Amino acid sequence: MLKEKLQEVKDQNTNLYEHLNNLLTKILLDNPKNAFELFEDYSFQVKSNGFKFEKYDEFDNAERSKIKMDQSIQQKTLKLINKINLGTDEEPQEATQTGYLPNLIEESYLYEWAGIGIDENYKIFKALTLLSVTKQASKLRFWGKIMGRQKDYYIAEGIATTQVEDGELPPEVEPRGTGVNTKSYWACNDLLNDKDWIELPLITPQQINTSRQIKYIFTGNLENDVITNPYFFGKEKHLLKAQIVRITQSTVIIPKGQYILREGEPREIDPAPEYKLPGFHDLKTLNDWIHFNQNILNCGRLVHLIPSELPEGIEPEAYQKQIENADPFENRLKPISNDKNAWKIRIVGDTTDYNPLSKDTNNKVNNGVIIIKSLVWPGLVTVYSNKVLSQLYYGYGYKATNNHFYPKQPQQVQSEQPDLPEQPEPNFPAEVPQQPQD
Amino acid sequence: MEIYRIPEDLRFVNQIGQTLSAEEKIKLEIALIKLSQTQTFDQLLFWGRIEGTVANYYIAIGLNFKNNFEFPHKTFFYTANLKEFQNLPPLNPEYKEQVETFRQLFSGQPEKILINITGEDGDQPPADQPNPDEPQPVVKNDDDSDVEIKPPPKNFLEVDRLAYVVNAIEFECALLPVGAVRLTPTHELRYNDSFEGLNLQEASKIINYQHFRAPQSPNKKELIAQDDALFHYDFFDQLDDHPVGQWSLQTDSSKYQVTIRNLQWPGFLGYHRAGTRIFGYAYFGDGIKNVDLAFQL
Repeated sequence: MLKEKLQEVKDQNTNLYEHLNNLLTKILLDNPKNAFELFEDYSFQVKSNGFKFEKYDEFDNAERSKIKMDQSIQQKTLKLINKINLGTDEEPQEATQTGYLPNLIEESYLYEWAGIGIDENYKIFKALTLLSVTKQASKLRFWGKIMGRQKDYYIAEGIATTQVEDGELPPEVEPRGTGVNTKSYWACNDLLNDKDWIELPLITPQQINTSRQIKYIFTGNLENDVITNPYFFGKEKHLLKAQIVRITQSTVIIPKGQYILREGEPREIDPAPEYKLPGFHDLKTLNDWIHFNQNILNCGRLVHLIPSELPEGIEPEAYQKQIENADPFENRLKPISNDKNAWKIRIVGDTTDYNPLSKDTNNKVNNGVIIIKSLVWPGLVTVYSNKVLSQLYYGYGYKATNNHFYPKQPQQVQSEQPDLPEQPEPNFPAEVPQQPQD
Repeated sequence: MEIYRIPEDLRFVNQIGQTLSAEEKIKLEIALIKLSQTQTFDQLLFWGRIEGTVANYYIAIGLNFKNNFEFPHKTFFYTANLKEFQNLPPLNPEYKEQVETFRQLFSGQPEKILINITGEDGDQPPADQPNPDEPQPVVKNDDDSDVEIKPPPKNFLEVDRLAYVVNAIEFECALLPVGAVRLTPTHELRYNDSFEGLNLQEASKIINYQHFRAPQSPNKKELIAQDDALFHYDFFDQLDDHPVGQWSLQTDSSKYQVTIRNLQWPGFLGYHRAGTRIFGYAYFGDGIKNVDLAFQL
């Protein structure tokens, strides 16, 4: 009697009696420890999976969710990490010589000590190798990752050797290879797509100065417009390059003594002759590190622009002195301990001195890792260990500020001049033909 | 982050460029296991790391699901030297506005004084304030019913600021995939054992993730109070807080590992591996809120 009653409660596929049968069979088979708590779960699962107690030995739980990786992603990943093949599958073409590229895998190990985890470091490394071959870039390195709202950018820094025609540049823009445009930068959203590395364009001093006044989080799309006030004339790729250049110019640091000022030209530096990277103990304090790059001047360039036509009565040298006083250079190779509250230095890792393999016990080996993080550009980190010096940026691409950021207000829209009161047009009497004089 | 899965889950944290060094991992594991032995929780999670100028803070969170109606009880612990976890002090609502104006980095010294009430060491505190060292006079009400004792004013230490920041981040950011938790018939929260993970398409949509806090919006409050709430999975608040645009959902190049980052607290991320039961959240940052976000979007 009860059975018929239960069979009356029906759904499309089954009735309550059958469902209870299936449910209890499943619970008996699985024998979970907390069956009471999971009872509703089981009921839901049995309903959705269509478990039937008569066929219990055929039922395979593992059918539930098969992981299917997108075929194209599989192929692209394999292509990336295999040997570089510039041709097609049928006609493989070996890669020609690649430029200098530091071993990112070894450096990742150092960064791990600093608390910086480079995601997918092998894929990045292979993508950079590919970039080095296709763009014939020398001195390539992984600059870092700038996170964005929709997508992130992986940035590579290097010097492109292929000739690029830039055309006519306005006079204040520093041409390619000089000033703020010395190095080339490539940005990429998707590591698996080798065509995705796009070189960032040259930037103007105006763009640098505007980028100093705005605070922006990148979207991830290089061609987006940047809507801010003061208005940034340029697309996201220009702003990205401006931020990268600002970060690089102010935060690259080297051990003291690696470079020296050139005599007679205190703006230029040369590698110090017979210099060896010091050991661990000589680099433990902020005093031992100096800035490598020049800072960007207030005008947005690295070197002042001397216009070709000077105002009257001023000698070129005097004019140069004038603008240099208004916008002075900072000393090159200045120690970073002078920057107030801008750096944080830590020592981690195993700092015991080991004897080296050779009999020379004067040069002990120390595997300690020195980490210097920038507090002005959070995300910038320099690591040094065992003669390997490396630098990386992982962040959102904006400065740390203590005060709240208030964007500049747009200028007041001036009201129109009131119209001048209208005067009636003077009506000259129409030309009256002269009466012939009598 | 599950404490037994820290090395594996750090893979997700790598997407924002953070990780734990080998030394940190070893010390952290020992400290967490010590903590789990001294206090019993239903679940102990590693919450994250806040970087300071001198030292870092490592935070753990203990969850108690049983006997807590609708939402588990969260207890926070911190350590600066990775030797032993201590309880984070309770929040003092008096200093709420002041804390929000602090924009400097944490130092890593929990006892550092940030707001000085009792005066410098050696100076006399102002005469009108009770001296914290002397025993407090017991103020009795006229009818002898309740005895009120004025608590001595304490300095606002860095560990108090830490408590604020951790609670704020947890409230504003902690998240879970929809379906990961469910209610029992007694309206207690439990992890959903039949949760198989979101599939590839679902995992990349932010609507499939929800906050991990007692619901604040009125319709979710109603939903969770209903009797059939245990058949729904989306009874927590959606990730649609103001300012809109503060959440950024991204995947790695394989499209399987999804991270959901918060731009107001850069350093926070929730993660999920599509098709699996791996999910969680963590904070690896400097503990400073990005209040300029509205201007940056």
